[in-house]
Amino acid sequence: MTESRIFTDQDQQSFAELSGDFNPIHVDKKHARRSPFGENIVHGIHLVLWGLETWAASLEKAIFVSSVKARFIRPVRVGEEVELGVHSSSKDGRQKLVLSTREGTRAKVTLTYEERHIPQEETHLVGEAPARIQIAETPKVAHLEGRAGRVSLTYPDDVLHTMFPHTLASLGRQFLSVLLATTYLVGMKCPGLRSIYGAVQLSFTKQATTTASLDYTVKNFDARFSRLEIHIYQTGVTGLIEAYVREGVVEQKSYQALQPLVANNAFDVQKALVIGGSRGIGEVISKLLSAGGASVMLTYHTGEQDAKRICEQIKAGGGEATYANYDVLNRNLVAFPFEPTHVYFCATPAIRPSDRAVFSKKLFETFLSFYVYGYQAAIEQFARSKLRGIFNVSTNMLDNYSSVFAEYIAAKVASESVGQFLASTNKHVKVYQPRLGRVKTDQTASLGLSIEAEQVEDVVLDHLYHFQALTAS
Amino acid sequence: MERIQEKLNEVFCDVFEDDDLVITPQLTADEVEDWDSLMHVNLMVAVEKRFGIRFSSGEIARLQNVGELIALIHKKT
Repeated sequence: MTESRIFTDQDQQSFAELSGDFNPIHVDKKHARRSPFGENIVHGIHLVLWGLETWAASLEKAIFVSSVKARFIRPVRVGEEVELGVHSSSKDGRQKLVLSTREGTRAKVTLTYEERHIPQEETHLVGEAPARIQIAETPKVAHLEGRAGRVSLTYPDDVLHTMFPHTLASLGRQFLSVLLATTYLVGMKCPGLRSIYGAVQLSFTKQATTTASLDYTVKNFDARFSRLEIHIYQTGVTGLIEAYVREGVVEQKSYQALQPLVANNAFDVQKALVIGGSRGIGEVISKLLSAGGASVMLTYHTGEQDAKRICEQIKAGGGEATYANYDVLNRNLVAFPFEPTHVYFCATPAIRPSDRAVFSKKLFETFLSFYVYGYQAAIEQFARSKLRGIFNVSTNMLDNYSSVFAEYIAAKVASESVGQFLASTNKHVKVYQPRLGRVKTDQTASLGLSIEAEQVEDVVLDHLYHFQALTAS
Repeated sequence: MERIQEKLNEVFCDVFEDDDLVITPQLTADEVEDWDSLMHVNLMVAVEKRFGIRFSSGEIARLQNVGELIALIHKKT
């Protein structure tokens, strides 16, 4: 059996209202933009429940699930098509579901079950959905181990009947309620805001739960990986959740902190346009150039508040900076009263790996749309007689190949070729495309497993000096 | 080392839920479907539990292939 589905923003909202899991990674686009995923992702438990609901529709009888194991391998983005594969086992009473996108496996679910003869009375689990709460900021890691609490197991009957009628009828209310409660626990309570739900294993006994709540304790926190093991327990059910804590939004150093690094007239001949200057490498370049006396305009696509904050910081420090909205993909700039002498192209989509075995055409095209078409069109749009230099952020992955980032690397190779073309057709313009190493930005924020990344300013400043010298000659 | 490789193979089969998976010393993450950063963490945790050892972050970050993992397990057991 295979079925497919695309989860929409409305689906996200409906599931959040039922489960109480309003973690912004699932429902807030602005938050998701600053996360490693770049976009909203579907609740892992929602994927599991959709899969179970589809399979349960084919069941002719009610079953008792003695154990379920679900592992979330990679996130599914909202708007991305996901396919369900139902794999029947040669052993009776075991079922495996695999959820995949075109780019590979996303989640696996394994159930062990038997026929259920005695209906279970579970009316005590009927009630209101979890109240909308302020999401818990992920505690400091030192406070995670031993953390304990309780979450509700009650959910509104009518909504369960609407969203998961077959799961409710065939697998039972307790089963459904416990799964829903785990996403609320991980996404809203522990670890809360910066959580990643990795896997869950549940074991059920035929002893029915009489309490409408589920207890939890963090039994183990491994700081090497920012990994938690959360034990959950109640009469009739025990389980283990694997969750992770991801890094928060990566804040770059303030203008005031960066000013001392730069000679105050190092870049004062420049009218610098920084495309993609509202965060990450572009943000730091904007600040360093301003600190060196450049007049800076930085562009943003959706990060208006970030752009405004950066410019206010620069102005408060005595620098000169303005900001404007510019969509690299749609090239929407109409009137742009700023003729740059130097253009810095720092715009990027979320940089993510694809699955090893498959070169993703869709992912490659996303990167091309920024690094080739967006780059070329932006230069064409802003190249005027005053333009002296083009700075295009490239990557040292071109020298240290990793198949994990095959699409990203291929697009950057093409981007550098575009730069060479621009250099050959604009003789008075110098094109500089430094291959930067891994730096600390939203793009490189990850789990605790030590992945070396340097501060942006430590990597970029020498390149700015070099570029200035190149364009002065 | 052969005994370690056999035991390690069982861990791989369990973690990747693939009874047909056969590891070799040359095997790398690139060659196994689903072996990405989160699965790598699960694999390391499972190996530690199975062999009763503990790796440092640095030791894990330096591993290039299964052969080096086997050698590291041998060193710690």
